[in-house]
Amino acid sequence: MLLSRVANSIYWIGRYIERAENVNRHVLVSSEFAVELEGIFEEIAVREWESLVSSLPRTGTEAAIHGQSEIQPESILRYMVSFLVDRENPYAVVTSLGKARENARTVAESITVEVTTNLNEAHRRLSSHRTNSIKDLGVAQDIGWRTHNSILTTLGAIEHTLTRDEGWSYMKMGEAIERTQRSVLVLRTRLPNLLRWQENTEDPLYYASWRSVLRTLASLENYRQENGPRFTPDQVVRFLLFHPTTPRSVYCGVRRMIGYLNGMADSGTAAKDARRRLGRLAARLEYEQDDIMAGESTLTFMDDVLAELYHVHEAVSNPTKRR
Amino acid sequence: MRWTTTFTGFDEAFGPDKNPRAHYRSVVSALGVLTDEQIQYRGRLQEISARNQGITFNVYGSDEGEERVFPFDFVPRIITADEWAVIEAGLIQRTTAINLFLLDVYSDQHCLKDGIVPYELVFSRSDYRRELLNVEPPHKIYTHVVGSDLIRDDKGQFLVLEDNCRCPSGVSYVVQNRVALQRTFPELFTDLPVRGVRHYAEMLRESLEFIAPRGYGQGLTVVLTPGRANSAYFEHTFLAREMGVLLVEGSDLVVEDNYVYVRTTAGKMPVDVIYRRIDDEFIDPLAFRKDSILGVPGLINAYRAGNVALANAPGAGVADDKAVYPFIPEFIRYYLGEDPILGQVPTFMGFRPAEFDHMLQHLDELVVKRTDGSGGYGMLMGPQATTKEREAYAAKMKKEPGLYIAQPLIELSAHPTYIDGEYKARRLDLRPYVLYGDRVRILPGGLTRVALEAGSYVVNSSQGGGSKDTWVLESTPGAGQ
Repeated sequence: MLLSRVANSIYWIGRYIERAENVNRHVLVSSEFAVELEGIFEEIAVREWESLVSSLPRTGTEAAIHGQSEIQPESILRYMVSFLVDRENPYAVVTSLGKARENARTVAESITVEVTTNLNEAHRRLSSHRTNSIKDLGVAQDIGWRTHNSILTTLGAIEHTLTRDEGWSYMKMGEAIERTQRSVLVLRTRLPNLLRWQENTEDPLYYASWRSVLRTLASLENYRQENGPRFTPDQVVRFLLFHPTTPRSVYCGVRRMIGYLNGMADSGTAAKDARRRLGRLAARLEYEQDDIMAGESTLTFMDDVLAELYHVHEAVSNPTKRR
Repeated sequence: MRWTTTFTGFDEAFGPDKNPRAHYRSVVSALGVLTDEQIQYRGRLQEISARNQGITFNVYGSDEGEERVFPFDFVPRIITADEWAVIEAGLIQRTTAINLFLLDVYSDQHCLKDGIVPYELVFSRSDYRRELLNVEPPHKIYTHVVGSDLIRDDKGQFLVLEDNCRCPSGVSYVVQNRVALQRTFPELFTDLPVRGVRHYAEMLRESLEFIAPRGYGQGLTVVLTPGRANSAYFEHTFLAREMGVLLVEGSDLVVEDNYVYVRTTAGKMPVDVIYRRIDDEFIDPLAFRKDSILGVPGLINAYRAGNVALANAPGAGVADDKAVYPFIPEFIRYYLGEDPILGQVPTFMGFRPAEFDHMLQHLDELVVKRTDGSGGYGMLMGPQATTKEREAYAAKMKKEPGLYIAQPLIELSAHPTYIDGEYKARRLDLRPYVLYGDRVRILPGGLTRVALEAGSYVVNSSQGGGSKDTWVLESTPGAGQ
């Protein structure tokens, strides 16, 4: 038994916690990468941050980053502070945790005390920092790691205490859509640049760049288990698109979404349409891998995936429209 | 650690000889070994824990989204088994009589015909719902949940100050204060047989489902909340979660052919029992206030048709009107043929000209309240007010005498409360919770509210009050256990 209103809020809790985790991870990986490159390849260090910014909708984000006058322009610290604790930045971790918490407050009776408490604790700790009180990179990184741990603790509470009912399907659907969208966006943004190094496997930066992409998507260790220490663009893209079990691949995400849709009572037209779209996407990911990998069609395919995810989001975020 | 016991009224914890009363000895000595640092550390833990669990209330009139933690004082208020036996019997008797009065006043009206209470008084109450005359609630129960405010006079006698028969709030703090104290001061519990309060939600759900139109445990029970802007929103989520039922807002419910349904992802599901935390006025724009956006259009017709049970039943508010309160001892004699077990505060009524004159002449001795007021708003504390304040208040009273009642200032009992590193005597009251289902039951405990300001008599959370864990003992120490 699930209220339509509650289903919608639970869906957004799943999305916002996932978004907070994804951006948090991205910020930590990018800052390490940028520190590694700073002074050697200044330009690439900056581009690393630009790739984070351009993998997110621009509304509000850029203004928030460039609006911080007290921090040196273009510095790693400026980006870290903005993406961790600046409430003006709509994609900051603190913003996403705040929104997850607001949604949780409206449906507190439908989730467990452990989830509520851990989510509040994660938000409370992060939001106790102010943008102008973080003066050095070490402090910023420490805040980033601690926040990441508290997000993972919240996810642990979700995993261990929530009933696997319809609400669970909505929460995990939100998570799967957010995560899959992130994988596609990161890959879509980084791929054109990375392909330029195709012939340059002796360059240490070549490895650093691929490592950074895979770590951003929490897939470096998973990739190594499958493909060993070598990176080729074809292998990495195939891994992130088609691998059936690594949690951040597009195929894995689409299959999860199909499962969660089946766990929803909604049988309206929009839900049927979403099932059809996801089924078709899963079939392409399984049977048309070589076509997708041929030349320019990889990028076109990723655009298709983003468009389909948008339709699925529309269908599940307005469950049964108050029948 | 200093314990200040000097106080004019009844001290709950210390006897006239300044020694702890028998049932307070173990707590006073356990607290005696704790240092200030230990106590402050535990206090911080308690506050963070309350915030993280979202145990906060929204303050009306303050910036939107401001969440405050209700101040909690860790020194527990202890009630002996003997004292509790009187409270329990007294509240069962009182609640039974109130319910009989409501049944009567909405049907045959014997109490009016026999002159027990005047017609014009009852009919002029804003909470008297003439629309519901001759609509009998399921199992003849109006008052499923009652929160009665008790005070203790200077002799230590418990008196009923008011009965809250609409949507009394605060019970979530009773449970949460216990949880908090057990976590932060576990050693206080070691030597005393404290009765549990954590089963309140089970008691409540049993009482609610007793009145289900289709029978116990058949249909859906829901908690109806005005939404998260309400100051008691945390409590609504708490009760829904603890009972394992849906928490709904008015817009989640729909009435069709006089049946109530809740909108779910799987379509509409029928609802049998609504524990509503919305006042009568706002509950159905078709029946009462037309501008209410919180309610459910058609709900009252569904109730009238007997297809849904509402707790508390609409119309119950007339029983806790401050002008009806003086008649309750009479109701106990009239309906039950018994003498009241619990006393109450003598009350002058503005609608009686002689008593109104007495009120005006003795404003400096009286506490004056509006009959439609609550939360400590709009009252005059005569003995503490300035002449100017009293004159201004008297001018208002003269415009609508019938809206005012007055009571002598009762010297509330006091209790040690941790303030700035010392245990100081602060005044308090007690709100036990009465549940009326297949029988009348009282949760062994209650909400103790304490006036944190020195000298203050006002314990309301909206006016600087705090709360304490309230212990009811299984047996009375030193009374032949």
